[in-house]
Formats: sequence, C-alpha cells, structure tokens
Amino acid sequence: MTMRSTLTLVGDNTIPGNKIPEKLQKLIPTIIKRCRDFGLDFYEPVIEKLTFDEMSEIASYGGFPIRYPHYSFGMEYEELSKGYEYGFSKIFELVINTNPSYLYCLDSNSILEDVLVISHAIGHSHFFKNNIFFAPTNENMMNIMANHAMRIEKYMSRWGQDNVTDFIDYVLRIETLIDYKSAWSKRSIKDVIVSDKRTYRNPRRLPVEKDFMDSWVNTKDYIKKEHERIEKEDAAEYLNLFNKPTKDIFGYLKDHAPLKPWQQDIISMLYEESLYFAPQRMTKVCNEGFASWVDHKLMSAEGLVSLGQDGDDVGIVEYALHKTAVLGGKYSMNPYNMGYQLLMDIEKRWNEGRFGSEYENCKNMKEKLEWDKKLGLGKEKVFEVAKYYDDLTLIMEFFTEEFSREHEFFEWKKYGDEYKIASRDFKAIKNKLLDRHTNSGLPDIRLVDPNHKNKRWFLLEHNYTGQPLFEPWIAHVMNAIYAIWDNNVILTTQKNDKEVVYVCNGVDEKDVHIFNREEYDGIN
Amino acid sequence: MLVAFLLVVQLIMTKRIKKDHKKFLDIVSNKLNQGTKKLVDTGRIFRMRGKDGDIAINLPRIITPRFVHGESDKEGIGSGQGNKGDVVGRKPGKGKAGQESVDGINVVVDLEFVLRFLQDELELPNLQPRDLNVFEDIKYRYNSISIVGPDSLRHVRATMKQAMKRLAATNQLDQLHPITGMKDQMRLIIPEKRDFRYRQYKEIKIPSSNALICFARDCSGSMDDNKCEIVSDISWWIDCWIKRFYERVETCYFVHDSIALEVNDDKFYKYRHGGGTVCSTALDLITKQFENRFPPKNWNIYVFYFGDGENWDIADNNKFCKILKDKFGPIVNLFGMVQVLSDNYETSLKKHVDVSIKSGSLDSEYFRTASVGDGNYAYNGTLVERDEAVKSAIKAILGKGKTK
Repeated sequence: MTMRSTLTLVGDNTIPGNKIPEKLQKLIPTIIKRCRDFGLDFYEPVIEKLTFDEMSEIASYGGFPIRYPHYSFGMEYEELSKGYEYGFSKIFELVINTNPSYLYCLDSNSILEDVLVISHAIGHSHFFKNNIFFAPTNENMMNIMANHAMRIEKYMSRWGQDNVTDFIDYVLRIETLIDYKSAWSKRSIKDVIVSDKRTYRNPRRLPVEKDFMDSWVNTKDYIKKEHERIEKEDAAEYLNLFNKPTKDIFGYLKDHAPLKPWQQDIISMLYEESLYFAPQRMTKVCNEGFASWVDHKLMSAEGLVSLGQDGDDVGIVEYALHKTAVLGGKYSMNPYNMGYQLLMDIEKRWNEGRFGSEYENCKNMKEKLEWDKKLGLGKEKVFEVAKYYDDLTLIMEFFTEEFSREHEFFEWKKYGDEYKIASRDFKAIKNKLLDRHTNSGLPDIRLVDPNHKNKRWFLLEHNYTGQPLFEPWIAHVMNAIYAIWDNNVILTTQKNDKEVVYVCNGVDEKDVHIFNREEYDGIN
Repeated sequence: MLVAFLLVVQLIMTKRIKKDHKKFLDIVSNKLNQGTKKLVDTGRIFRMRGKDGDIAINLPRIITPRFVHGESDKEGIGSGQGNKGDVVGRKPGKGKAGQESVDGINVVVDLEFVLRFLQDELELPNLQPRDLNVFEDIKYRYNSISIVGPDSLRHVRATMKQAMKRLAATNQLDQLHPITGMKDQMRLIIPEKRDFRYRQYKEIKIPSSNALICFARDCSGSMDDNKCEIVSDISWWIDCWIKRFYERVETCYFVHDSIALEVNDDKFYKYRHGGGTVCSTALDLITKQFENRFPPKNWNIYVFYFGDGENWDIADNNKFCKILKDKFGPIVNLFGMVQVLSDNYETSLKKHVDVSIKSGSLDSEYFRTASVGDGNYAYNGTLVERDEAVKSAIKAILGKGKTK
C-alpha cells in the first residue's frame, strides 16, 4: 500500500489511543532528512508510540510483537514493568534489525527526548544495515518470528504445552553454543542420492624437473601412504563422519540428534533465532557507541536539539541532562559510554592525523601533544569503523594507552566485601577487556567427538583460558544436551588448575558425575 | 468495522504477554507461598508496609542456565578517579543488619494474600460484629404468601393448590361434573373464597457493618523514634486486619501528653512533643467522640492505646482503669493496650490494667494487653528479636478469645 521510498507512519492507526503528537509528526520529515544529509544510510523507519506497558511487552519479547509462548518472557515482563513502576529503569526507545526498521518510542517522552531517541535509533538502523556482522541476518525477521510462534503454538496444541515447553527449555540452554561464522556458510541441503557411484581420486604426484628423479621423489611408500589417506578421507566423507572439532554444537545437534519431527522443527527455528541475535551480542559496545555518537553529532553539531523547542536554552540543558544519565555511572563500565568515547577518540585522532608510523615513532613529546595535521578524516573513519568492526576488533585496535590514561581506566579486584582498585596497568586492562569480548564473553567450548569411544558419546572440550566455568549451571546444560542427544555427554575442563571430567548420563542434576582426569582414565 | 478489527488486534497483543506472565507466576507461586510463610514466621513481614498495602516479596530469578564463566565478580575493569587500593564499591546487601540481598525479582502480592497467611500462622479468629440493631438498608421482596390481600396480588398457583388440598381432604377430587356443551363429564377444581392466597412482601434487613478504630498514643518526650516505629508498625497491621471484616471503617487518631489532641494519620506516626504524661486525657477525648460523632449503638468500636508505661502519677492510672471500666466496658468490641519498650514494668500503666483484668473488674475478653520489649532496649542490633516481639504483641491483641 505504501511506497517503499515514502515514510510510513503506523503509530497512529495500528494501536488505538497512541497517537504521535502533532508537534512531533511535523518534525519527523525534518529529522529523517537531516539524518540522510549527515550521510547515514538506514532502513526506512516506522515510528510508533507505545505506553510503558506495551513497551515492556515488546522489550521482553526482544523487540518483536509476537514470539512463541514461553514463561521466560513473562519473567522479563514482570521485571521491566515493575522496574518502570518503581522508577528504577525506563526504556526510552527500542529499535530492531528489520527492514523497514520499527522504532518504538515511549509515549511519555518529551519532544526533545523523542527527537533524540529517533536520531539515536536511526544510528542503530544505519549500523544494522551497514555493519558486516549483520549482513547475513534476515531483514524480514518480524514475520519469521511470528511464523515461528504460530508453528510452536501448533505443536503445543498437538503434543501438549508442557512437553513442548520442556523441550524449548532444553534448547534454550544450548542457545549460546553456536559458531557465528556458520551463518555465512551456505546452507547445505543434502542432495538425494540417485546413483550410488563412488568416485576414486588418485594421489597427486610431486612435480619433478627430470623424469629420472620421479621414482626417487614419488617413492612407492609415499604413493601407498597417499592412497591410504585418500581412501580414509573418502570413506569418512561417504559415511558422513565427524572430522574436526567445532564450536557449532547447537548446529550439530540440530542436524544430527535423533529427534521427532516436531522437535526437529523447533530446534531449527530456535537455531535461526539464535543466529539472528548473535551479532547483537558481538557488537554491543560498537553499536551503542555509534548510535550515541550519531545522536551527539546530530543533536549538538547539526543542531537538531532546537527542533520544536521554544525556551531560551533551546533544549540544550535537557539534552545534556539526558546524555549524562545515559552515559554516566561512576566507576562502572558502561558500554554506551565506552563505545561513545572510543568513537569520539577515533574521530579526533583521524581529524588531527594522530595515526600511522610517523606519529607512533615520534619521540618528541611536545610535538606529539601538539600534533595536528588537519586531515579531517574523522567522520569517514568512524563510518568505516561502524561498517567493519565488532567489539573485539574495535577494542583490539583502538583501545590505546593514551585513551586508557585519559579516561582513567583501572582494574579492580574483590577483597572481602569491598572492591578495590588493583592497578592501572595498561596491558592488564586491555587483556581483561579483550578477554571479556572474545567469543562474546562466553567460554570456548567445542565438540570434539560425537562418537566418543565408538559408543556415540558426545565429547565436549572446554578450551580453558584461565577462567573456570560457572559451576552450578554445568549440570543443567549437560542435562539439556543429554536430553537432546539421547546419549552420554562428557565435558572436559579445568577446575582449580586441575583437569576434571564431567559425565552426564541422565536428565536429572544427580546424573552428572565429576571425575579427576586420572580417575576417568582409570574407569575406561 | 475497522475499529472492531483493531480492537481485536489490541486484545490479542495484550493477551499474549499476559499468558506468559501468568505462566511465570504459576511457576513461582510455590516459591511465593514459601517466601510469604518465611516472612510471617519470622515476623519480618510487620516491617514491610507497602504503598497501598502492596507487599513486595523477593523471589529468585529463573535464569536459563548456560555455559558461562564463573567468578566474574572477583575482578573487572572500571573507570574513574582514584589511587591504587581505593574502595570503588561494596558487595550489595551486606549493609545494615537484617537487610537481605536484593538479587532476584520483587513480586507484588496483595494484602489479602498476606492476611490469609497471618490468620493461619498467628491463629487469629475472625472478628464478629456486635448485634447492633442498626440496619444499613431495609429492602422489600414479594417472596411470601398471605391469606388476605388485594385481588391484583392474587397468587393463582398457590390458590389452586389450596383448593386441590381442600378437595382431596373432603374426598371430592375425583368427583365428575357435567359441563354444558360437552359430552363427557370432567373433574373440576373450583376455588372458594377461603382458598384464595395472595402475594405478601417481607422485609430484608441488611445489618450495618460500621467499625470505628481509635488509635491513641503517648506523644511525650519519652516516646523516641524506636518506639514510634514499633507503634506505627503494629497499628498499621491492626488497621488492615479490622478493615478486612467491615465494609465501612472510620479511623481516628489521638495523641496526648498532658492534654490530648485528635490528629491525622500522618501526624500520628510522626508527631513528637515533649511534655508531661496524663494518659487518661486520651481516653476522655475518645469518650467525647461517642456522644455525638460515633454513637455506640451504631458502631462497632475498637480502641487501641500505645504508650511506654509512664504516667504522671498513680492516681491517673486509677482514673485510666476507671474510665475503661465505666465508659468503655459496655460499648467496645475490643480494647487493646500495647506497652512499648517500657522502662520499668512494676510502676507502669500496663501493670495497673493487668491487675484490674486479673481482679475481674475488666473483662479479659474485651480488654487485652501486650508489651513489646520490656526493660528498655532499643532493638538496634537485632531486628530479629523486634520482629518476634511485634508478632507476639499482635497475636496477644487480636488472638483467640471471644469478642463482642
């Protein structure tokens, strides 16, 4: 009905009683135009005004109006709506990665807050559209989520609500055990085998310059070994054997676990949703930082702050107050603030030319302090960062010693009941930050062998990097994998710097047993 | 049409999360019962007065377990000023004694739910209104039968029934009568004048359920903040309890030092004034209210007095007991007296009242006394003890025993 190029406003007719105020409605085209002029490239926005109750509902569903029925959304709702009622927290806006991008504003926002959150959300939308980590995500997720909800509801009415909810519970526990790279890989649909012909490959002979050398270089032994290797590889491929450790445990279970058709369908749907939400986990600092940078630029540098304002201060005080509240937090690590400050720093450095070997190798401190080549590349660089970086690479490349010193980063440790500053050592701080963002801050657990000991045991390995696993939850997750895989699950990890092995042979917490490495080897 | 469709859409939208929310509450309801029981058992509930009577009960969150790093709260990164070794934070929930950590989510339960728990736990009986002979409303319903009345109210069915009874009794029921114009003879029932029955109205009296709660307390200099807090805790819960049984409840607040004043609830909980203490003045002032404002024949009267047991002289203690006996004895449903953190029991007001109750001049069914923390200690350290004392005081005042 509406043309793709025009702005659609659904806020005033889909939900009765929540009209966009006339004053704001007049301003919206201006805001959109100014955003485009600034260079932002975003999905066409659909702006809706929601009451806090609706906002809590949509936020607890992760930004979507319809999700499958599950009590965890109910808990989230309880928390969010109570948080608003008691005044602890407030969600000003919510924007999701779809095309068109839906942009929900709280109906109690003032005009300035609305202008601010719209430009902030458009920053997010630009990030969603351009960042390479979001490239494989589906633009049409709103409908897909609704379809998932419908299908799961259908299974619930067919197979019983509790059965389906229990299964979803199990699947949600392994939600994070995915390999995000697999989103880029082509979806493999197994071809139907029409003729069962086997193709043989011959070993590659090593090239020689003179013919007489051949029997010396490509010896009979070598050819025989190569033959054997190729035969094994072919056989493994033919029998669909597992050949290398993978992080994509969820995906492997989806493809290979012995499940009923409805379980198969549910696990595939949840896998798709998990892949959809993964880049948001990976780019939290970057995404929030960029959106905060955009609203700062638009509001203060481009002057959007005065839109619809008639006071003497043209809204700058209210804007500053809002910004302090969002970016504030004494001593704590605020992802909004960190990303925002990093991007501001990048902009400044590239404006003044403080990069490259010439600057790095400059020994004269005075010269270094007053360094200004007037390059003006800042904005361009920030847009580049928004396009190609995620949290890990952003921190790895742009968290410099100067930045750490300027923003007074420190490392704290817990002594008794108190948290104290432990050091201001740059290397330690940066390592810790990188640790936190590697693998989205989750432990690196790989599937090593799905047919362990030839008994179809599921062998997992935790790639230990100094941080142990959270003990109370290990059993629950292993139970979930047991329930899906329907055979024993084994996890090797380290605890107190000693190798331990968890073995799970049931769906109850009691069925998880812990062994020392030696004990375990002795049993088998 | 469009509007109807949109309304349906809205209905579905709001219903969706409500379902999940209800499912969540079902899952936690078991824990909710346990949580409430624990709070009531320890008496901690009496310190938790919510706005509008809502009480928030802390429940553990249900988090989906995943493989995550442990010990994440042992070290981390922050930013801000400070030198090495400066304290930048403390573990939450280890501040004041008795405060529990705030992990988890707060689920609000309504007061009725908590009061039901209180009733079970403290074995509180239901309050019985007095037979006041005062009615809220008298309604008329035609639900009875009379032998006299106007023709317009004649009850045909009852009349015919009566006629049949009469015929059966005189053995004429099967008698056949010839009817003009018809071939066969038929049985006939013809009512006579004495058979006629008429509809009659009845009065339905709806008994009034008015209750008057009077709270009075000592506001002399000796009533410090500790005492006032305990008074406000106890009186709030008593108020809630009584409101549960009556439709219309009036609450009056009185404070006194050497003279008595009527105040609003806000002042009642906060007002402090140095001065002498003449306890009987409060009772005098309450008695005055009965003359015109709240005639005792129309009201169920509950009076509660809080003090620390100090009084100006012995003579006033006697006067206090005399007023209780003469003025309050015939009219109150319940008189409760709570002595808070009293210095010395032997010379206190409660001792006097207790003696009167024991000697039988005051009826122990309608006059109850309780004390919280005799011996002047302020519960600074151990709120557990305070909770226990408040719980037993409420049990002593509202507990078993017949009330008027």
